[in-house]
Amino acid sequence: MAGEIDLSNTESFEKALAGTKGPVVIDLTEVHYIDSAGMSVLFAHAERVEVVATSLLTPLLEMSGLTSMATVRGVDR
Amino acid sequence: MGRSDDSGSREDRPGLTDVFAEGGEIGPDLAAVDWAATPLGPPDGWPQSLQTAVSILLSSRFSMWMAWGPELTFFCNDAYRLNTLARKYPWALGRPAEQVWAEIWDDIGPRVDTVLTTGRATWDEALLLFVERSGYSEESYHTFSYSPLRDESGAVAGMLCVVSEETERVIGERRMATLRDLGSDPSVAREEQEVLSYACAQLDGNQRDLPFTLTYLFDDGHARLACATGTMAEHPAAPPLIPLADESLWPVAAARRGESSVVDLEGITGLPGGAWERPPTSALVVPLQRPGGVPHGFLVAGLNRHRPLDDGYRGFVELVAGHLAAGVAGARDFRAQQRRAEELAELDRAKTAFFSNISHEFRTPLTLIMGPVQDLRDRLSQGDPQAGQELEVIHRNGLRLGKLVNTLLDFSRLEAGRMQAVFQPVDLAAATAELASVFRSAVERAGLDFEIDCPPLPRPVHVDLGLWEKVVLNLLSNALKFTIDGSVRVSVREAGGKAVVTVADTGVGVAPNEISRLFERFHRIEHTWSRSQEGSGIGLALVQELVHLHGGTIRADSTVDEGTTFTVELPFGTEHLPAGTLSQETGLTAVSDISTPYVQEALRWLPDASAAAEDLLPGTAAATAPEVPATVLVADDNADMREYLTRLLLRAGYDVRAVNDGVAALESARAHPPDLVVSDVMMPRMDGLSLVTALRADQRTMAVPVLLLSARAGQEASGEGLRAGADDYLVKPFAAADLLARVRANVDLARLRGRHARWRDALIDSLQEAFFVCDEDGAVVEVNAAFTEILGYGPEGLPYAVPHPWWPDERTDAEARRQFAEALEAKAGRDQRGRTLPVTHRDGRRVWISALMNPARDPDTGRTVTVGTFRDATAEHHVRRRETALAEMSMRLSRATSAADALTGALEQLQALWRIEQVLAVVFGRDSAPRVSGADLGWADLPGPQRDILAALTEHSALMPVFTGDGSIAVTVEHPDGPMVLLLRLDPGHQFTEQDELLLSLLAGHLTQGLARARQIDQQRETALALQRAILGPSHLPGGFAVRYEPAARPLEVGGDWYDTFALPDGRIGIVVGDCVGRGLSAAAVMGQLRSACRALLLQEIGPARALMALDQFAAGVPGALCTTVFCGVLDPDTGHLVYSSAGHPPAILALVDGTTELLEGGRSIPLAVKLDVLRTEAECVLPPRSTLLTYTDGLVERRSSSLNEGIDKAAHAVQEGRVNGLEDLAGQIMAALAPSGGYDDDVALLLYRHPAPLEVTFPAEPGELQSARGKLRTWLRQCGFSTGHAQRVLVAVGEASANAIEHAYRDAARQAVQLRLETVGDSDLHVTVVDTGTWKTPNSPPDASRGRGTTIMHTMMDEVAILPDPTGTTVTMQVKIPHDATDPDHHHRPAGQARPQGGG
Repeated sequence: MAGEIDLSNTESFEKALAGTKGPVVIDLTEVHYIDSAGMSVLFAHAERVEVVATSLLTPLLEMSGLTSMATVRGVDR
Repeated sequence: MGRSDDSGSREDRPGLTDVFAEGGEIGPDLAAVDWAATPLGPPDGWPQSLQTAVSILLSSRFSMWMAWGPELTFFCNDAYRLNTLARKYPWALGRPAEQVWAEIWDDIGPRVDTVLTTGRATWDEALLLFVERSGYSEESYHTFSYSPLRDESGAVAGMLCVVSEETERVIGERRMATLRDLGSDPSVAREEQEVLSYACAQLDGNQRDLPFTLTYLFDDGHARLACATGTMAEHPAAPPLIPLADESLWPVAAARRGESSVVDLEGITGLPGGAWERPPTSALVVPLQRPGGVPHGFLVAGLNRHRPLDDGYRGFVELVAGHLAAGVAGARDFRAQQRRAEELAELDRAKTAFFSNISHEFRTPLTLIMGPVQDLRDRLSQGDPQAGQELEVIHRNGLRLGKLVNTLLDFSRLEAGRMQAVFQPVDLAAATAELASVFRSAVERAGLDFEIDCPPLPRPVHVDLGLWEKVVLNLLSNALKFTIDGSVRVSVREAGGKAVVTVADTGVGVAPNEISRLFERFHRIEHTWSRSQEGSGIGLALVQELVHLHGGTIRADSTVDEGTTFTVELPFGTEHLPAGTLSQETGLTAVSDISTPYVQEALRWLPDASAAAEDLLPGTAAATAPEVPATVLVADDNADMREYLTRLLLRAGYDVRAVNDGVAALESARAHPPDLVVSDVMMPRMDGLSLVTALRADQRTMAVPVLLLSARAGQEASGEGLRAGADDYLVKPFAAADLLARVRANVDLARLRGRHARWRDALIDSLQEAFFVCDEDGAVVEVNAAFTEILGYGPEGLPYAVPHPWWPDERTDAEARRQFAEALEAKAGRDQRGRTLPVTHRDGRRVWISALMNPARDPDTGRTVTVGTFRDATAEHHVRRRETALAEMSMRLSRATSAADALTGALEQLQALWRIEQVLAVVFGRDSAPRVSGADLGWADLPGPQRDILAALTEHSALMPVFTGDGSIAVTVEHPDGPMVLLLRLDPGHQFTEQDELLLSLLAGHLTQGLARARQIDQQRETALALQRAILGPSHLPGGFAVRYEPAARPLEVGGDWYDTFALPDGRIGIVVGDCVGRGLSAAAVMGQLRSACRALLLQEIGPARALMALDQFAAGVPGALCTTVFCGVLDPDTGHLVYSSAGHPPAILALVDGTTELLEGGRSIPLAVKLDVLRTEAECVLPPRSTLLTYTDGLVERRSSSLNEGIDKAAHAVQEGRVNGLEDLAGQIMAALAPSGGYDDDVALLLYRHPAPLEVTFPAEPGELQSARGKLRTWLRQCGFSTGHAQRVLVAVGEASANAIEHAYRDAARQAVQLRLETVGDSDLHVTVVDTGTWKTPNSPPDASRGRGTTIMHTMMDEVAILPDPTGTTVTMQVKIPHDATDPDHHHRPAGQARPQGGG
């Protein structure tokens, strides 16, 4: 994935994720922004996703508590 | 910065077109001046202020001149022309004042400069100026005030001088002081040389009028130099001796003839100049006059070359000579007097010896006289009554002389023990009664009862009849002499074995302490009433001696005012008498011849005893008659002497009045002062010495000469008389010729003295100053004509006792009274400055006087008197009052910010100045109904007659006050809207004087100018406001800017400085700060053009340097644009990149977030249009995040007292100090911190920018807009220097708030907007505001994990979050600290001031 996830595209993000089954690895390393709407999509699928994100997003993911429900892997670029 | 010099445009004023109309005689001459050739130009082009000033000048009766314009072109009025200008008229009109008064410009030039540069009036009192107006350098004194004249702009354009010339007064005072000093010689009479030395010392004190003097006395064939003043002592022109025939130096012969002459001193070198730099050119030679003889000598007075020898000067020198002559005469008289007194004393000693030794020798000749006289009386009394009367006088005085001789002989016999008494047994009662009876007629003629009570005694008493006769006659004579009314009683009784004889009277009595001395020889009881002062004082002493000779006793019992009783007790028998002196022959009781003189004498004491003096007058006129009729008052208690003197003087041609004592003499002299008083020393009631004292003490008789006659000779007696103030002293007996010579001399001397006194009076009367003399009690006893003129109180009312009638009334004017009393207390010291005091004229007018009072010794009486002079300082007082009032009016008018305001202020002042109830001002507008100010009344509310009066007054010439007849005064003033009438309702208790009229006229003139000026201000303000709207900085500033503007010229709100900031088409921002030369409206007009031009040039995006070069070309064509300084910059608000160029403008200041400052000093060149084709450069820099840029004009930093750099440092410091504050606050702080104590005196413009500008983003409330908004946010945060990580936190928080707004706020109203605002505050705070107009979704209710999570995220990312829901919308504010390391380390700015040349030209 690349770009920014916000209210305007959460719906398509949700649809895209809903179309998958089983564990999913979501690569957010090219995503520069995600808001709480986007996060809620991740929370909805927390038990089966593994999120890969840069330090730009990790603070938010940690703070929101996603790291305790899903696997979050930080990468340095 | 320079000054604007915008004299106002002239308006048409029909009432004032003929500016010289009021000028009287001077008007045509002023009109004839070629004004076009002066800097003022022709009069029809003069500004209204000049016209008003000229009009005030010409309509004034006070002496004034004025100067106007760059060359101070000279004007004056009629009074000045007459008083001061003299030969310089009309040449002076229209010339530069410096030419007109070239000779005194050194003195007055600095004063004129003071007025012109400071605008403050000057005041000089009696300033000495040497003017060339009469063909020579003339000593003159002027009291004057220079006050500024202002033009329409309020700038000083000229000056007005109100002057009064005081030359006459100052010089008159100086001469008077010299004469006063001359007259205050403290010694009565001294040696000639002493007198002259004293006088010359006084003359030496006035080297202005008498640069030098020489006093020569004629002496033994020479003129001898007696004294010299002015360092002339050793000069060749002052030889110690001049032969009388030598005319080579001084006109000796003319002086000897008593003639004055003027001597030309040309050719005599080395003469002293006295108080002046150059010596006299002529001298006045005046004789020292001696009445009826060759002058004593002459005075040579070197003359002040700076004054004309006019009547006043000549009179002064002659008075000085008169003083010297009088001094010489006095000293010589005194010397003669002393000699005479010594001779008289010698004579008296000889006479005493003669009398005491050979008195008895008189008896023979007396007898030989009396016998034939008796025969002649018998023979001639029938046929020739006049001879009979004269023989009667001879007879009476022969008898008296015989009696005196006999008495003296009795004494010498008694003293020598050679008294040959023969005691006979006498019927004492009968003998005494017989003796007493001879006195009956005299006693009864005196109106007294006479009682003789002498019953026979049982035994005879042994007495010497001749001696007893003297005892009784003396006692009776004594009783009659001292008894005014009542009775005299003689009785004889036996008591205690003795014969007791009493003589009792009801007379004046004797004080107890005097009783013991009654019988002392020559003792006389003073100050007692008696019928006559005649008598030797030996009568009672003789009585006592004689009673003792009879073995008896005598005593006196007396009570003052009741009477005296003498009691003589004689023993019976003969045991007490020496043997050999007894005779048993019974004494005859017939009265002897001895009694005759006693009775005759007593009869002479009685009033009707004398015949009319005229009857005694023989027809022969004496050669000693006076030249003009003179009246002599004769006072003598002795009728014979009185008649003798009367006869003598009548015969000599005098008018004579005769009285018989001092009191009568005093009354007569006071009623009609005689030319001379001849008085006996010894007189009843008031003796001669007391008479002299009384005469001298009275103003009316002070100068009447007195010749005293006395039987008492000797130096002591004559000295006593002269000390008392007698003019001469003659000892009896005297020769008729001697008496007449003395009388003549004294009358003549008095005449001469009278001439000096008349001179003095004339001089004092001619003084322009009032002169007065107060006695010790403060009563005014002498005044002169000027006194009467100034105060209205004349000499007829003298003396004026304290409180003087001109003192201010204690009840109605306590303050003035207090001032007056204080000045009177402090009346000591000659050099005391005159004080200006209020006094009340006899007619009730308030007059101000400047008085000087000095104690002086009255040379006549020796008392201390106060001599005062004063002059009428009313005009001066009014000048001061005028200055004050005019200054106040000017101040009020200059403060006024509109014509209405000016009028209100002026009316208030008029009301306060004259303490009047109401002042109305009615403006008769050209196109509107009359408008009333000063009362809450409309035109229609005024009474009809008053409206008519007011309307009629509009036709009256402007500035001339008119009394309206209903207790008001009106003056017409040119109001910009049309004629205006001021109507002052006067207080009936307050007199409106000419001075008040003048003041009103002047104030009205000021008001005219003030109104015109205020109207101009009104118009300027309107123009200015329009201009301001058009040209002052942009009404809308781009974000991140704050500005301040303060114009120097109030009440205008524009000036020559400007700032401008505007968006360029490419999104950059143009920044301009400029400063035109000058201030006020004219500078603003230039500024407007430059500002527009500069903006237009920058909008072409040619960059600052080229824009300024183009502006150089533009400015060259705009008058007043030269030398304008401009800072011109183009800022990229996104990057903070600034390109700038400066045309001579102070450097912009950049305050960095780290607390340092930098100056943007690159791209600098000269101010605009100074040199065309100059190649301007530009510099660039990048404003670091959160740095603050200050651009300004030099009014902010330029101070006279310090360098520009100091000011810039101070500004930099102020920006730095305030960098944490909001921009608006910072702008205010900088203006306050740099303001000088009196406020800015120059235009100030200031422009602040802080980078980056706060971010404001408004976007439609749709999710699709979020990304673009985030883009802007990201850019801005980068500009602010946020690291990516920190920026992300802010992005997330703002994103959550925005999403919330979009998702939930607009359920019912789609497509509304969301507003974001972000700004940095201070060093490290970020403020964020997100605003929508919907309803905020309450967090977690109903539970919605995602939205609730959004709010949590905001709280986590930001330090503070506040959500303020509201029915109309929700505002979220968030705040976060910018960590110190938040700033991107890579991000730094390019150093300021890198120049980049621009092609151009």
